[in-house]
Amino acid sequence: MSGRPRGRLAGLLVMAVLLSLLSINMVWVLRNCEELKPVGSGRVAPAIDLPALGGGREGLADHRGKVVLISFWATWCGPCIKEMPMLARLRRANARRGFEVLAINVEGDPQKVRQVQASHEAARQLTMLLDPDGEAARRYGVRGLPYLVLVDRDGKVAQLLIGGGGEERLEAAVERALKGEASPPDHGHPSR
Amino acid sequence: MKLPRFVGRVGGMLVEPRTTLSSVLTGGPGGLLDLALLLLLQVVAVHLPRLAGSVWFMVEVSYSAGISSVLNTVAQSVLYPIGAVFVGTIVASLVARQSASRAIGPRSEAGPPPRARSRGERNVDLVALAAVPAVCLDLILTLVSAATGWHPGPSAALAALLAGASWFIVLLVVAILLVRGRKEAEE
Repeated sequence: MSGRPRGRLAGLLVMAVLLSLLSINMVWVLRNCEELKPVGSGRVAPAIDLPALGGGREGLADHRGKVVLISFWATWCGPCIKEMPMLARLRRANARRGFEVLAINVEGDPQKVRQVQASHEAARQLTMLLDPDGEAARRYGVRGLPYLVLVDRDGKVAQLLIGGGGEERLEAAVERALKGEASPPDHGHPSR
Repeated sequence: MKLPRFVGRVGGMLVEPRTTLSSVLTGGPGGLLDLALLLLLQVVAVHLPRLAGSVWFMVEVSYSAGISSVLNTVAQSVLYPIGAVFVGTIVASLVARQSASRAIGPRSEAGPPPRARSRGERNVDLVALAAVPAVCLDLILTLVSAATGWHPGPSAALAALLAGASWFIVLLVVAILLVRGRKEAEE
């Protein structure tokens, strides 16, 4: 019963646990404001250095001076796989102008990625990186897939496209970034 | 809902679950709202960084993606407890085999007389309270993990989940036995 001392004491202990967790997390939030800050246009793109599917490591630093489209994806994400042919086309069309696509698998399981590559030609044409610890996804504040980040030649985020931007929109964004034009103030997101 | 009583019922489910369930069975306050409040507090306390990040994202980048992220965080957190209450209520209703729509007797605590609870409402309340200790166990393990920096592997996480599920099942059985006992006494 609620009025009994033992029950109330145990309840107070549970509240103390809740309060402790809240305190720990509040301190973390106050100390790590920068990490929580969303990656938006104009901000310096967080560094990436991840294991590549083909071996070795690769990151943004390897493509300095290029326009880079980072595509966070997962093998269970249908829209992510569906947009791979579009990303591969964009890459082929603009590779000579200094454009690269980095497809980052957020599960980080090479076996699963190879299975997708086996059944999807486009997946074999993209540079596949693995993010097993979710470090890159955390740095980029990935909230839902597909999650595309366009980085300009200066290493700054040019545009963020969440949930798939659509081919025309993405092409336009890439074109603007290749020409060094500023991205629109709405981050190019369909919801705004 | 009065907070001290809520605290007492949550603690009561840990140390004297039979008495706490009996209190609700005889028309006392508590049940689903206790679990809902506990889950709300858990989401805020445990997932504060994710929630803060989502709100910031919502304000600065995209309302829909931010809201979706908040909802995703909440859904992930309450999925197991709500699923357990749903399944548990069905099981309790089937096993207890109560007569239809019988109103529950007088309240055991002082205060204004409560609105009569239907059989279904009472079953949901009892099962929801049975899920409280599993949520508390999850909270304690989360605190241990946060305080020590220890990240449980898949096997440890599974063991914790099974421990919580077992605790819930035991309390569900206790609740069903109480309901059946009360029915027999009434008959």
